[in-house]
Formats: sequence, structure tokens, C-alpha cells
Amino acid sequence: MKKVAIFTEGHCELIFLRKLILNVFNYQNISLTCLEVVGDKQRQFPYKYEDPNYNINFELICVGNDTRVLSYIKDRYEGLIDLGFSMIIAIRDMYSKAYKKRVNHIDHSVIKSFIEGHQKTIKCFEKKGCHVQIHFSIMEFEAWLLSMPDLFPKIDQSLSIKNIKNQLGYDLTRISPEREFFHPTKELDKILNLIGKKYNKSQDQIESLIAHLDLSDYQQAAIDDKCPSFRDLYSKFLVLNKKAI
Amino acid sequence: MRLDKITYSEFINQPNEWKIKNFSFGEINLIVGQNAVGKTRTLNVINGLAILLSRKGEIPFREGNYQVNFSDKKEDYEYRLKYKDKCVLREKLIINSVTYLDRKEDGKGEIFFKKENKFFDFQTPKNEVAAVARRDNLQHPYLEKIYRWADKCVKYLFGEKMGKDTLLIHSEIGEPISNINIKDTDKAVKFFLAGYKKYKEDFNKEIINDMNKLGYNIEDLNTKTPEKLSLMGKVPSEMLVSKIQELYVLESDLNGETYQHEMSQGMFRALSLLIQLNFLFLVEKPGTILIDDMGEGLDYKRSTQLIKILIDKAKKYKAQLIMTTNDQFVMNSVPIEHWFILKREGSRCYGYNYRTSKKMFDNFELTGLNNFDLLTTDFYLTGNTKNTER
Repeated sequence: MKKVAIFTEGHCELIFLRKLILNVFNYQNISLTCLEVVGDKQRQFPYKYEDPNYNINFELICVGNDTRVLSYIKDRYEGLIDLGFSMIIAIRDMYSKAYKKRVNHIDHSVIKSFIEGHQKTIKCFEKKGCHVQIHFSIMEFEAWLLSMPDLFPKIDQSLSIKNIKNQLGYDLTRISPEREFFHPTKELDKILNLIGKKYNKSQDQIESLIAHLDLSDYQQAAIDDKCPSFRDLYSKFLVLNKKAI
Repeated sequence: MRLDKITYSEFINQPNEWKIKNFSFGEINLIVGQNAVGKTRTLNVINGLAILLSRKGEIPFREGNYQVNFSDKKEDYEYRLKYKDKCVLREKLIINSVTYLDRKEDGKGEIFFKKENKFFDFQTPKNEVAAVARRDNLQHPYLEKIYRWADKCVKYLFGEKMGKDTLLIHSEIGEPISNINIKDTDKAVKFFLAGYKKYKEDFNKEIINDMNKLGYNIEDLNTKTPEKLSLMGKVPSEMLVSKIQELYVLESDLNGETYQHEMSQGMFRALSLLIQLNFLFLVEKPGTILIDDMGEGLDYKRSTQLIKILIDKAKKYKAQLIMTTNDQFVMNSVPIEHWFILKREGSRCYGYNYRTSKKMFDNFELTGLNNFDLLTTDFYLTGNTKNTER
């Protein structure tokens, strides 16, 4: 059995990943546990899933802070190996205080320096047999949602591509949220404002948004390739799924 | 006035030698480092200077050699003081590159008289600090600035009782605010009553609001004669329970009051610090605030919230905050721009902060690790993120 630990900076990313994994694997051959870290304690996070014939065990852990993702993995790396984990995936946003301190726009050289810096950190503690991969959402995980335009009419019929274009000036089927939006959270908020809602990132709201996504949304986003950071992550799960079957 | 830089040494070439060189401070400073590197000692050095510059009379310490820089919007002060066996060997004050006071070992020196616009000779007792002994607002108004800095510099020992065992005797209740000594940091009850007297419910609300932000569900805060307290042994008449007051809070999820002697140490530390700092911010003009062992005894949520409250208030009221901590949560919640990393080699202490090592701090942010790992990996020394064997 393969054990994969996935660490996310927040609960939004965890909920998104949970649904993505369940959809990619079609609820088969996997078990899934979700945890969140509060202070220095781990507690259960909804929800747990287990296929009786699972051969991949995913553990999703929300650490609650962007700079905590790698620190948390580093401090527990040996313990994770002892527990049998052979793959660790770290997920965080590029948009951060440290990034904004450098520039206030999308800058590929700054993005590159953050990715290289994180990879260098991983090399300092990583050992053979348990690979650690860092995946940045660029600039935020919300860019991935914006790269799935079919999501919005499912939330509310009035959030058609045409209406969003008329109101906000961009065509979600054409633009690359990863290249266009420095602060994708704001754009998602603007879209929800069109139906009188605010994007508050609450657990309930994220659960409700993510519930509208299905495999076709992920597939289309990967084919359109408007967010290469999402495509890379999605491809990873496709490979894992092939091995699990 | 703000303390910008300090160089200090004592007992040179003796077993108890101690040196710190060019420690520079900003508005918000969090001193971090391994155990026994000199975090508390650094605060004591600053506090020691405040004592020397705010108290008239004989020098209370044996030996020391200070070179300090202060500044405000208008002027840069450089002050040097060297003393041994409780006698001053050299003292000098330079303001904007001009010497205003220069005094030698025999107590004789020159000082600038503002009204005459001239320097005159003076002599002061060998065992007294001239910057204090010569205070005169007409002739030497420039000395007032450093006196005020010293007078307003307060040190809090957050890892200690913070006044939990100190109650108030009735006779102290009516004392005017001018009688309050802000350095009596174990008198939380007294500070509360003085603040309450001046600002009434606004003072109370500010503290309750701060405590609520920490997650303490307090609805009321005041002082009272304790109902359930009994004092042990022979008690002087003025100390009878009926004649003392202590703080109490009313928590929304409890029916009765919680008196200060019943509070957890962590809760009382937070309450005491917030009472005293709100008093400083609202009643006094705050100067340099020193807090040792910040966060000690508080859980994750409370220590991170308390640090946020303190930083916000220090910025709002333009106070200088210099704290030490061993608390991982505090370290992770204070931006590394405010960090001051201490490293000790023998008797010498070295400091690294954003002003002196900007590139290193900027590079650390690229590693993706949290602040605490700046210490655990020795990144500030080696530039890599391998865990250090300890």
C-alpha cells in the first residue's frame, strides 16, 4: 500500500484537494483522512473516506499558515517515513506577505526564486525513498477555480461566462487566471458579488463551492492549460490513479 | 526619544567579562536566541542605563561602559558613560555631532549653558552621573530628553508573577496619579484604579476588549475586597482582608467573580500587562517598553493574539517595544523584520537583525520555512536550512 501525505496551507486548499482526489480516483482504491493543525495539535477535519479495497492511503493535513507548510513537513519528515509514507506533497499559494514585500504584481523571476528557494529547503532534509514535492498555486488556489468557468453557472445561473464578461470585463474561457490575476481571491469575490454574495473563505462556503465541481471541470481545466500549476498537480494524481488500478 | 544603538561592556579581562557591540533597534524588536545567549541580560543592560539616567545620587552598579545612540525627529544623541567601582571615569554627550557635555574622572568637565550660549566648567561628585546631577531645564534642556527616555523606560518580567500576589491597601486607593511609579510593575491593581479614575469606563472597556481578543470572555473588570481570601500568620491591622483590594473579572461562562489570586498565572500575566500598558499608552507618554519572556505561559492562540495587540498599540502610540522570547508561537507571529537574533561566543554577544543583515533575512523568506526555523537551522549563520545538531 502506498501512503501519500499532502500538506496544505489552509482549509480551502484541503477541501479542494479532497474533492479532486475523490473525483480523480472515482472513490475507488483509496482511503482518505483529513486533519488540521491548531497550535501544536492535530485534530480531525471533515471528512474521512475509505474504499474497502484501498491500496493508496492519502492523509491531507491543513497546517493553517503558508510558511508553516514546509516547516511542518521538515520537523515531521523522519516520523512520516517511519509511518510508511513514501510521497509528500506540499501545497501553498505564491501570493504571500514575503512575495508582496518584493513586488506587487506577477513577476516570473520572483516566482522562480521562491520555487527554487523552497526546492533548496526540501533538498536539505529529503532522503531517498520519500520524495517531497512542492506545488505552488499561482498566485492563489482561487486561480484554479477561475480556470474552471463551468463552475460559475452551477453556483448561480446568472453567473454565465457572458454575464461575467459584461460585468467584469474578462472572458473566463479565454484568459489565464494564473497570468492575469495577481490576487485571484479578489476576482472570485467580485464574481460572487454579482449575485450579492461575498467570498469569505469560510469552511461552509468553500464546501458549497467545491461541491459543484466534478471530474469534467478538472479535465477541461487541464486541457485548456490556463493554470499550468493546476495541470501539473492534476497530472500527478492521474499517474497515481493509473498505478492504483 | 528612541534607543537606536547600544554598545556595552563590563569587567573587561575578568572572568565575568560581558560585551555587546552595536546592537541596533527599531520601533518593534523581538530578541530571540538559544538559551543563555544573553537575551535577558541585554534587556537588563538597557534597563540599567535607564536606572542610571533617571535616578539622582550614587551610581547603584559596580562597573559598566556604555556607548548609546538615541534619536527623535529632530536630533541624534550619542551618550557615553564609563564607570568603575561606582565612580564615573568618563561621560560625554554629543548632539548632532556637537559635544554638549564632557566630563572626566575627577568629576570636572564642560557643559553647554543654553541661556548664555556658552560652555562653562563644572564639577560633579565622582560617584554621580552628570547628565542627571546637572538637570536644569533652563540651562541644559537637552538633558531632559534623555532623562525622559530613562524615566519612561519600563521593564516587565512576563515570565514572573506580574503582581499576582500584590494586593492594594485601602490607604493607597486615593493616591493621585502623579504618585504612580510606572516602574512598579507588580502593582497591577494600583494601575487599574489610577487608569479607571482618569478615564472611567473607557479604560475598563479597552482592557476588557483586549482580553476578549485573547479569548478570555470577560464582561466586567474591577477591584473589590476579596470575599474568599484569608491571610496566613500574624497580619498587621492595615493588611486585614477587609482593608485590601484585588482585581476581579466576571467571565461570561461563570456565575461568580474570578479574583486575581484565583486566576491562572497565564491569564493574570496577560491582564496585568494589558492594564499596565494601557495605562502607559493612555495616561503617560510611553517610551521604551522592555518585556522579558514574552508569551510565557500562554497557549498558541493567546500568545499570538497578545503579540499582535502589543505591536498594534506600540505602533499607534509610537512606543518602542523591545521584547525577548523563547516562545515558538511568538516568534512565528512576529515578522522577521522585527527580529533581533542574539548569538554569543564566550563573553561577546553578536546581534543580527533586518537592518544589519537584510540580504540574509530576505533570502530566508525564499526558503518557505517559518520564522522559528531561522533559529533552529542556524540559517542566519550558514545560509542553509539543514537542522542544527544540538
